Amino acid sequence: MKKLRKAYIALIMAFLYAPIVLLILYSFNDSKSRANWGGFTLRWYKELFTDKTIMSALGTTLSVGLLAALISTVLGTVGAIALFQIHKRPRHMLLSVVNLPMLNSEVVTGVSLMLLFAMVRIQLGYLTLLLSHVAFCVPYVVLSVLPKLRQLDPNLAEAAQDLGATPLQGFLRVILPDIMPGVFSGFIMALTMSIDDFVVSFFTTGSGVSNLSITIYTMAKRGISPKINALSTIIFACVFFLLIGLNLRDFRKDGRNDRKVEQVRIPY
Amino acid sequence: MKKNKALLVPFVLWAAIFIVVPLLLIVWYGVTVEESIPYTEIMLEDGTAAFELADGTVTTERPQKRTTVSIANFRRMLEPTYLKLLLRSLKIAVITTLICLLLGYPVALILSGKDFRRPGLWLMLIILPMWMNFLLRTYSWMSILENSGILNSWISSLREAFPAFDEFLTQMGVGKKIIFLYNEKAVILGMVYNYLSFMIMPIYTVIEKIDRSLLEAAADLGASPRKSFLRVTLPYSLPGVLEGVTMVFVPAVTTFVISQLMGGGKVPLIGDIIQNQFGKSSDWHFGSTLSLLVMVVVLAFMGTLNRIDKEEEPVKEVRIL
Repeated sequence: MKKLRKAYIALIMAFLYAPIVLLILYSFNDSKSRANWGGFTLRWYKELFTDKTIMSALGTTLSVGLLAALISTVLGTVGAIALFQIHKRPRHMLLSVVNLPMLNSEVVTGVSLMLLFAMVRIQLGYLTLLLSHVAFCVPYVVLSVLPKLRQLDPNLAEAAQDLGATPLQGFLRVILPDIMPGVFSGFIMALTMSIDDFVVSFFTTGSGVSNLSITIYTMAKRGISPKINALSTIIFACVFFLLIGLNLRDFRKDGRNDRKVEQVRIPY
Repeated sequence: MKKNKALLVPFVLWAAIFIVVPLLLIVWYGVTVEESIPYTEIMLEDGTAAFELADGTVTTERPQKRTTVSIANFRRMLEPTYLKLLLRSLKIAVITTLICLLLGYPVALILSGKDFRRPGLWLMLIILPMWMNFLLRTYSWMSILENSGILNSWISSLREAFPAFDEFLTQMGVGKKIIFLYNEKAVILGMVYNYLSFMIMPIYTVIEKIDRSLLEAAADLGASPRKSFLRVTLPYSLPGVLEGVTMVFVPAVTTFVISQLMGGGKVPLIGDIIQNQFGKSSDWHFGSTLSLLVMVVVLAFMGTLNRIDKEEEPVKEVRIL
């Protein structure tokens, strides 16, 4: 029975990793066509860095991702604190509004933002792309900061003020350090969502500004360049080793790794 | 914490501008149509061009299109073409969700058991593929499944190696090249592949949290493993299942990329039509009407799930057997 269970997991892993292994193989394939193996090469990795389209798409993805994550973390944290302070009823109302983009499908979010930008006549481009990413990232930050605020000891902030701290000092010295894990995980989630996004970007970018997802979508019609495979392999390898490293470190630290995965929220 | 209502202002402003107004715009576009005003071009006595409207008024400015409230797009939406598309999208999404549940539940169950020393590591390996762009992964499936793809070349070399196998396939009516891509099954495969982790994660999180002593108590009281699964694990994991179902169903019913790649344009879904209305066809009004339809479908679905969630909440008092 135990073997059967392990075999099942192995099968699912094979299913999940088959296309990824293939993609990595193609990045070393010395032939533009996917149909035949032309020998091992590193040429796509070399050419990747001189490809202007891919490099500018990578730049857009990273800069939009970092900026959107940063802005939505600030906005979302402020929002969560504000929400935390008001009465239950308006809080629930506001929270359900904030939840809307998470419930709505990405297509609806993308389309609705496109209509917004059309109404105020902003030319679609980098700015609209960034604003849209902030728009769909904020809810994730709010929802990861709120639980931390609930765990906060209300006496602490009062004590800080009794001891003469200004509200800002109280926030920076007392509240922020306590809710930092939530803020950080919100930031990471926003970054991941932004980097991975295709649908919302598709509707809200224009004037030649495109991120990696859009570039890949455009390429998919003509055939994807092996250079994109090379870039994805690099990104995948970085994330892979980073996570394996973190995981093994945790493992050593507390013996059997039975850390509860409470923070895992899946971006979609 | 000292109450500071000023903090609320930027946040409420943001929510109004980027959530409420865009949704209202969809509603507004959805219930209106743009129509051109019928006119005839005439020449005035002094030689300037003018335009005569149907009611006889004459203007020198070319009449612009006007926006009017109309249910025309709702009628259009109910045409068989679009209803069929919606039904197909729902069918594919339901099948995808069921397959993900059937494949994913055992994964969550096994990983939360004692077979693996590092469940965290395995779980991470399940989420890891999501860090590779989903378009690329889907595209990679295409190169496995296409007519001259890897799977077909493996099958044909197997046929060459084993004539009996070749004969068997020929008798079963299987052609030299098996067509995997560009049909509903391929689209479903693409979706199951992309959304499977969305199902596993929430179920795992919930099963992980089930109090082990409940299972021990069930065993002590003589429940077979099967019975304790049915009476303890399954009911307690239901919230995770419902979350997983939502996380798979909602993107599945509205996707437009997977159907384009794996279906090759032959299996258009409701998401494809919406994308088309905002792109090539450029009929934002009808596109918004369809978006409204999708929103209603998703909300109705979530409403139903929430009802189930409330009804089936695990009993508070311990009642295992």
